[in-house]
Amino acid sequence: MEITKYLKKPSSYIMWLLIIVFGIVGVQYYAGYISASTAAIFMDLMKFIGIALSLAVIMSYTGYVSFGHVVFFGIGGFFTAYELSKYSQQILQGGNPYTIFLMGMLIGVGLSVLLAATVGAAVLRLRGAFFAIATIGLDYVILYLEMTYKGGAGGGEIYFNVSRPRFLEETYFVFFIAFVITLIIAYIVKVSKFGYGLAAIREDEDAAEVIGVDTVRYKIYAFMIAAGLAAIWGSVYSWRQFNFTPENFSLGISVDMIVMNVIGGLGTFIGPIIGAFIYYIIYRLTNTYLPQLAYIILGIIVVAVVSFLPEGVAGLIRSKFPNLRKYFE
Amino acid sequence: MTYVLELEKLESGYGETQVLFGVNLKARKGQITALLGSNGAGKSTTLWTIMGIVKPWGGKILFNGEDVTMLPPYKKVNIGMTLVPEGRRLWPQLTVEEHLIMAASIPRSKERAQEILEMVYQLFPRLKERRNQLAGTLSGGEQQMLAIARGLMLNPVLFMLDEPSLGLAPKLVQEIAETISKLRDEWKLTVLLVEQNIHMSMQIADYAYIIENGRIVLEGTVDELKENPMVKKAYLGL
Repeated sequence: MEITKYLKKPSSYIMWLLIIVFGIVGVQYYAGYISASTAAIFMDLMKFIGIALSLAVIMSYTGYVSFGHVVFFGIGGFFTAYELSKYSQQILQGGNPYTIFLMGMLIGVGLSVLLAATVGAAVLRLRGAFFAIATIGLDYVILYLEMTYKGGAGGGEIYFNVSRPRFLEETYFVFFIAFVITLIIAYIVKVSKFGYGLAAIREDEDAAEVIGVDTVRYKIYAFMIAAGLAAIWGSVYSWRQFNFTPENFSLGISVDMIVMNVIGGLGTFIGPIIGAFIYYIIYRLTNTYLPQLAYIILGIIVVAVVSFLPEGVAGLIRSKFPNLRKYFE
Repeated sequence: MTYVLELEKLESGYGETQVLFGVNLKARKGQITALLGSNGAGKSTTLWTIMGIVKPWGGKILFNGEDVTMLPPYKKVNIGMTLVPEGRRLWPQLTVEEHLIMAASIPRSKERAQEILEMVYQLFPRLKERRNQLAGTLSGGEQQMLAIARGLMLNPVLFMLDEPSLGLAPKLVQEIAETISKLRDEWKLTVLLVEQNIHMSMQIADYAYIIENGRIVLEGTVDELKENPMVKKAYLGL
């Protein structure tokens, strides 16, 4: 009998609640009860939560900041856009764009996971800031490589067109599927024996080694999962935008991911989700009403959270309401 | 005499700095072997090197006669080498029982996990009372018990303790000493005890090594060492 089943698992209620709510919104949207602009908000939210959770697996669960994590988002997006533009003729003649999309995504995700394994094997043996710096370097290398790509538009940009009747409604469900996959993978990693090993690494890596955690392998696996999830989101994002630009490799997206994790609370499954909600709300409000000050305000909020709530919002709720603890792990 | 652990001319260090200069040491089966010395003598480095967390520069580590010098730490744990590190190194955000269960999830102890857990609770009834408490909220003595208990959950053959008496009140040091004797007498473990507290170690150990500047300078049974004029003067303050 697996003794680890006695470990108290964080509740999965919030995850199922999110899936149900976002699912219902999708159905309502498809049936025409919800406007496209409202649905767009939910799609943005799914993307924010998705990329936050993708980074969480390595940063928040394991304690290694993948600063250039956007590189995998970019790779996923690039190959999706590349495949869709390469087969644009077939699509125009009525070919199914989804098979091509899926192919592009699989290539992007596969290469991201492979890249994470290779880079991880080289760098995750080192501790501390080396890993963060190496991932930034990796992002720049891939960005400049990508910019040499001369597609139809040149300068690393790719445009394609998959417009079809009800494209937006269908795309909502593309996002939704990616959302469900991300939530479930991030949750399973968190509650599995593997996840406990990652937590041990985060809290004290030497102590993890002396209780028999194969730390190097665990870290590499976590990095591979994080990379794959980020690539999925890069891929669906490109699909929705009808393009890919080198902007998708911008470190600003990396910073977004990190900030959402920090605001929400490190080490938890629920933290990045809460962080994404808060970040998105602030982001929308500031961009609508005070666009010039948007990033200044976000910056101040981050400094405030780091100074006053080092455990993030999830940490605050857990310490104030011990009864709710199992929902905010 | 069978030896569970044998170190042959072990050398290691950090970066460019060599710390161990050919350490020879043997842990006798079913006995407590003490490695004694002052701060910075290389005691902890010896243990970290045995576990493979600090990589050996040279020499050999034999475990039950097999060469394990270059084995990674997690494999060493899985053949029964266990280290209870200095300073306890617990996870403050996890409960007592979570610590124990996590340790027991390695392949080596999986089958016997339930049984060992009960033995551990019998050894430390206090931990059973506090099984759902976060490790960060335990007292110093309880934390040391938990560190030892976590090590025991790994189903060890060789049990290495790094300064278990550090920072504890004399009465608790006595308790820990009794626990370590029990591990030898009742649990039949081979213990390698690293200590600065010479009095406590001499009380329970069977054989001892004294290390200075990364070299073993003296060894012998505890009774021999107690009579040694150098030990008397430098360590026992007699």
